[in-house]
Amino acid sequence: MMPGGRSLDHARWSAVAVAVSATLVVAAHAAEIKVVQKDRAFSVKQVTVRVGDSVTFVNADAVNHNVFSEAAGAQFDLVQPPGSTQTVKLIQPGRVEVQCAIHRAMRLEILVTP
Amino acid sequence: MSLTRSVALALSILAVVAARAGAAKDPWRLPLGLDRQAAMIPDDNPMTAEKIALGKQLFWDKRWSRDGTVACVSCHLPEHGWSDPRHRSVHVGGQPTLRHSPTLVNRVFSDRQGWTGFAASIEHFVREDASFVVGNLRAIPAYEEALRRMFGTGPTQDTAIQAVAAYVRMIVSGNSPYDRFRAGNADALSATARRGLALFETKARCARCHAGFNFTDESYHNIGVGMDKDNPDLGRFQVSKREINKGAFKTPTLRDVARRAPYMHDARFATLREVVAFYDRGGIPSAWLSPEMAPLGLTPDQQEDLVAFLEALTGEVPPDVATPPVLP
Repeated sequence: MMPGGRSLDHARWSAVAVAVSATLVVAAHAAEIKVVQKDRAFSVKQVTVRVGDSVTFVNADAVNHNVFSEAAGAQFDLVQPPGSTQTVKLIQPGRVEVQCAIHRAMRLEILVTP
Repeated sequence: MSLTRSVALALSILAVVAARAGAAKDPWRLPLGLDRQAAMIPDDNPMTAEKIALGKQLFWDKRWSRDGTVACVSCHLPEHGWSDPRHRSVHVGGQPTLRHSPTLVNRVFSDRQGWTGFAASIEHFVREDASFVVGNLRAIPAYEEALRRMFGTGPTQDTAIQAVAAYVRMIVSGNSPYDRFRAGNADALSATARRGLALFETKARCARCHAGFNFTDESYHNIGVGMDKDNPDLGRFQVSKREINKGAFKTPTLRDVARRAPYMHDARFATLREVVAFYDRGGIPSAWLSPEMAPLGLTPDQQEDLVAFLEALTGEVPPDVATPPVLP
């Protein structure tokens, strides 16, 4: 290795490290969380996200589903044929109760933190 | 709505028996096959023997309807599975109801009530019926006295409604041949009904929505009924205003279903055979038809097997609940 090679490699690795860190920071602030609907149930009952994150609902059932919320700042009403996905971005802190308008037992709580 | 599980129900029912039979030798129990833990009693309307007895009288009494012509029992006939053989029931003033009378069997296991789930409780369901005038009860001293004793007030809308709701929660049906079969009596179901049970849970797809001990998922599905009309009844959509609910109705319990023809919210089918044939065809196409609805390919014999199974869901309602009361 050339004398200056070490510092060049070091610089390159430093740059990579900075890039990875930046990616992680971005991911931490704008993550996309996947929630699967299977057997007429959400894959989780509660999920905590940060403002700016998104939740993607994946209908893995062979029946129609729906996700709706009437929470302040997070109002949505999405139709989900079998196999479809729908993404919701959470932009306001608070508690978001998500339900299915078809299947009454399906409930999910999203806690949106600042 | 805040609800407690059925500990209160169990205790209160025991009180009913103690009051009426004077002994604990025949303790009231939910009929075989029903889940006591699933019973829903509002915290603000506990079950008491006195309240249930009064509610039963009010359920049967026409005198507090606006024109003295109808009682709850006029549209929810015990001998007809607590539904109505007429396609449409008749309200005060001779007005037909919007839909076929829904059964009152096993309502204690549901929170949402009615074909569209419009009511958040049985109390809400009763309150929405404008047929009754609580002021009419004040002319009947026994009701005035009973309500004052129970609630500390004379007749009010709330007290009368709570009494009726308490009684309706007593209308439970179980101990059907199916329940006895599940409990281990292999002879309780005919071979035909046993084949029907297997189809119910597999090829015929019935159990996907008519699920659990009460044969309902308490959810809202579009099976196409009514969507073939020029001005269709949009069902649950009228309550939720959500697109996915257009033409959807609440899955009814199948307990005692053989007792309560005609079927569907618009009473279009006269027999269970017609109902099974309808599902075999895959329902009626509509924009939000449930993907569960598809031609089933059932043979005529298989359809008969399913009917036999549905008939085996005919159970027993406690006799003292179903017999008419003595009115004051």
